[in-house]
Amino acid sequence: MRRLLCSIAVLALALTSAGCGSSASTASGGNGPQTITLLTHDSFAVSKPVLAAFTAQTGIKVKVLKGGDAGAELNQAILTKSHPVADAIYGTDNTFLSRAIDAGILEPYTASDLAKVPKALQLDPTHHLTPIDYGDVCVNYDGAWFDAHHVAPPRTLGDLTKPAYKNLTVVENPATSSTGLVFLLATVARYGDSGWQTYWKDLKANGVLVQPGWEQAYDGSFTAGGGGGKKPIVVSYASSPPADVVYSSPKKSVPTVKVLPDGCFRQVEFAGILAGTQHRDAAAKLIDFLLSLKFQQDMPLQMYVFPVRPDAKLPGIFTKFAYRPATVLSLPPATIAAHRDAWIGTWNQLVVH
Amino acid sequence: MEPARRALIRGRTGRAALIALPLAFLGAFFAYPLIAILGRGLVPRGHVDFAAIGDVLSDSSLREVAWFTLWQALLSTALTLVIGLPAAFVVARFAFRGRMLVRSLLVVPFVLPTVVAAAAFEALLGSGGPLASLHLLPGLAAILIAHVFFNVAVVVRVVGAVWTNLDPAVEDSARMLGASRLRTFTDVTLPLLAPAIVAASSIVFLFTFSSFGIVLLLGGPARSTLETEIYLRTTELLDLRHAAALAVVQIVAVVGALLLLTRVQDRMAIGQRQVSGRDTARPPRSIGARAFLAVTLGGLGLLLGVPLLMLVVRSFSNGGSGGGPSLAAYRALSQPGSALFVSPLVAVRNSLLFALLATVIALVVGGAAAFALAPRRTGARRALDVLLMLPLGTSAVTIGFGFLIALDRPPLDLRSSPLLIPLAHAIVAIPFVVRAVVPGLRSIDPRLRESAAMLGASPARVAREVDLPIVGRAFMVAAGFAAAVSLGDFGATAFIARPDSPTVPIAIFRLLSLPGRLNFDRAMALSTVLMLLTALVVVGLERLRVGALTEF
Amino acid sequence: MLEIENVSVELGGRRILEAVDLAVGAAETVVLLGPSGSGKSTLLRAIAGLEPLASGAIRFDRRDLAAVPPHERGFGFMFQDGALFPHRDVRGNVEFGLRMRGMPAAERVRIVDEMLTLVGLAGFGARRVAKLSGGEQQRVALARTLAPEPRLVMLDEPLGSLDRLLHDRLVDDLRTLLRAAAVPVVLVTHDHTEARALADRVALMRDGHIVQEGTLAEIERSPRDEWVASFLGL
Repeated sequence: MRRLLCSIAVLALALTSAGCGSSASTASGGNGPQTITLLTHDSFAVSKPVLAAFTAQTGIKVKVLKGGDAGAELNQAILTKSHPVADAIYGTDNTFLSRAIDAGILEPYTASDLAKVPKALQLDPTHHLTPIDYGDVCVNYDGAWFDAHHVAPPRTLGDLTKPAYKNLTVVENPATSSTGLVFLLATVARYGDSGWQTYWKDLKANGVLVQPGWEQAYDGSFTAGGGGGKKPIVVSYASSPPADVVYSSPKKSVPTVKVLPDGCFRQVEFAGILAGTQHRDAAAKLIDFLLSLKFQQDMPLQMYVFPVRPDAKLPGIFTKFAYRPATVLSLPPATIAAHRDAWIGTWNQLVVH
Repeated sequence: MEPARRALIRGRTGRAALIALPLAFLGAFFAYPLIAILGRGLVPRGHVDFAAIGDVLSDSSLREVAWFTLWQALLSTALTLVIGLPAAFVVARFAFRGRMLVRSLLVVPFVLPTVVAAAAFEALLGSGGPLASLHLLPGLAAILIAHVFFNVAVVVRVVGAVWTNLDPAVEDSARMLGASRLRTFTDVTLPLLAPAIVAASSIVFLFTFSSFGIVLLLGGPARSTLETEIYLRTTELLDLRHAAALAVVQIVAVVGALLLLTRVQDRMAIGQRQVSGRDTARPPRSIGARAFLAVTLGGLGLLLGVPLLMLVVRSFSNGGSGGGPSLAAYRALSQPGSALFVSPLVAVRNSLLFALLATVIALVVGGAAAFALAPRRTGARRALDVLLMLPLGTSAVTIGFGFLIALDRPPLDLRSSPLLIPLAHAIVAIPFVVRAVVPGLRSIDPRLRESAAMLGASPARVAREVDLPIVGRAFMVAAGFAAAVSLGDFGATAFIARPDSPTVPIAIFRLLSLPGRLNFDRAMALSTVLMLLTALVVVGLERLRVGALTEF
Repeated sequence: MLEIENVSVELGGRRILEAVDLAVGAAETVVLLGPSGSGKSTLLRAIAGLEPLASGAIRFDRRDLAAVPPHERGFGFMFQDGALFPHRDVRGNVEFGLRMRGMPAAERVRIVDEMLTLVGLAGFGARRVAKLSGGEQQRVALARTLAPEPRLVMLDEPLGSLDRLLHDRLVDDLRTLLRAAAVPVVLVTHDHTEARALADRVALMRDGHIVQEGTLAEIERSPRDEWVASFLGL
């Protein structure tokens, strides 16, 4: 009995020390090869050679920690403020900008190429967050489906509430998806304070399906998403058409996924250094890298977003098929910060219950 | 005071002083986080402010959450009784081949981690599963079925134990005096079973009221209970104030329910169940009885076996590329993949490590408490007993939430300590340890201790030479409980696990909440692994066969 | 050797023993005889230190035992039904007291073997106690009690649970062993034939008092009162 207890104690000690070794950041802050952790949302992607080039250049290895959708990821970072789980964070967007800055989880840093970013996208004058990419959240529809069913495709947001388009739309839950949240903000911007609630009541009456996230909505429920979905109308991005071509099988030469010209809302994504990191310099180099041409030009085909740098060359498929809306809806970040939670709560009551 | 008396009291005080360790431990890791919750919810800015609680009670969506929590628990309890009572009757009253095996197997769903059960029902009712066309998932139906799945064992064990010991002569007398079978059941059997039925119902009600993993994974966005709402408000909305208010409501509700139930039980004078050893089971004689036995066992087998079977079957899926079963999903467990920072196998290692630490902590603290509580029952001891059982009534979610908001700053800053999760698990496990060890200690003949003392053993030596070896078995059972609790915990871990070191239930949860065939298959494989681990621990327990398992 | 002076014991609010005086000399066997409920076992437990005294004193070799806890008294105590340790085998039981004294293993083995031979259970060392018969268990209990060479031996109904045949056989063995031990012995029984066989002196107890004491012959010759006479079957 005693021997059993002793061996268990030794085992526990050994496993604990082994466990301690695999925590996020290494303790060394010196000149040797460092490893830093980047906290991102689930949709982050970067091609291996580009990331490897960064490591080769700077000697810094990057571990990517995916923390759920953008909101959950940010909340994680805030809840672990005193002992951050990573050194830098990517994926906070303009809808959560104020929450991130007010929570005090970031350290200010002016990236080396920041001057190259258009002023309109530099939404944080304090430089706690650096803009990296933007996308336009728009309603997409499956052109092929509408052709096959001899139905005229929708043209405005209001069309979605018409009986002709009953039970054809899938949206994302704004509480759990940043895409869904941005679309909710689009309806607020479009219809005003009380109008948006009527809009959603009508949408619900018209049989809208709610999915928790973009992947479930697009891959799972959208007819052109490849997952055998039944809904030909989905809330997605203006950059979905190029993705449709790239991922089509058999290969398409022209996308069948089209974008509704009405109701696009611009979403800008940011990156920042997490306060309390032991590797501030390495994290700063990472932010510079995210704003470097190499990464900016790799992003479109990885994450299907637009680079903030106008001097970044877009891949041909993007220039050909990505939708550039003439006008986009927007709301001031302060307004978003003040009402976001209340709007989500109201939305929840209107649509889910 | 006489020197002899003083010496005796010194010995007894030494024993009672053992209680200091469990009290300090619970004070730091249970009371302190709980007070932090109350503080957040009721005293957010330095003065008592019922605004947050007021919101909970007036906000219609939050009120709906509370109401839903209540009525789904009541409905789940009713359904469990409807299915569990015939099962209890069959197992208690009929002798048939494999009867003991059925009794043991019934416990497996009960101790299964909630995420594994959720994964099993996903495999059965979710997309791609055989019953997907019923569209039961996500939704209320799936929650109810899963609740019955879990809790049938409670009814069968608790009510069955009493049913077995009912003297058949009593029922026969009723029949001789002219009562029909039905009349005998309603007028004689049911009243005799009533205390056990109330006991079983109260346990099932408490479990389903605090149900977290099942509701989160199977309920969908429209179905939220107090527990899931606390979790979602914390992780999605960062609304800690309302989350704390909800936690306060939850605690009040559970404590209230517990008090009410103990009063009802006292009035029914249930007391300790005496093991009379009399077994009134007879083989079924009539055709009707045999048919009833077959149908009930068949139904039980379907309800409990099919979901788990589907889980295992789908873990051998090969990604939908046609052809036969494959180990692809299991092999994929060693690679990180996109959703998890580490490979699922590392999550297994984390779970095992945490389980080991949690078990050691629970055994030491719970063991000390058991030693202090075991001697003659005084009023003070009874009060302490109730105190030590409190973590049982408080849900794991509340404990995890409390840890999150209390233990990330001085005086107890444990956020980056590897002990954080084992401590939470230990808090949940300690009541089980005490419940398993105390009866063992109480059963020791005091003359054994006296003999040892006469032969020269000091009081400490007596504890080591007599008490400890004899309750060794009870400690093994307690260790098994603690390990099972730790391996399967989801509610507390969901709040405090760091994303770079997930446990297996957390990993399964992540894999299930992401779309994609690969993630789903890996969730199935990982769930099967966890199910096997848990089953190993539980079956080991049953073989030791100390009455502790039947005492809830 | 053993002096019990004006001892009273209270249990649960009731006076079980009242002003008891008794002396036991070295190598003398005193039997506490009386009906059940007379307080004999309580007196025995008081001598062992297992019950606190309400008043009076107990002295051994002129030293007051009040401050000495039971495990330091060096007394042997054999319970009714043996109270053997179920988690240890026969050897583990018999050597227990020797272990408590810190005796080295080799020495212990020697003494245990001796004791087992003495009680007629040579070779029983590895047996599990649960598997032994009633008589064998009593003998193991006796061996366990005597192995550490106690300064005083107490036995509480040592042959109470045995059948007549076994009983008679063991009474003889017991007498031989106790004589050989040559220490004061206090033995409790309700059976006066047992008293006759084992006692040097007898103390008759009733309702917590010693009503008469002396050799059995003395008491039988001149019983103090009716009750004594009828109890002894005179």
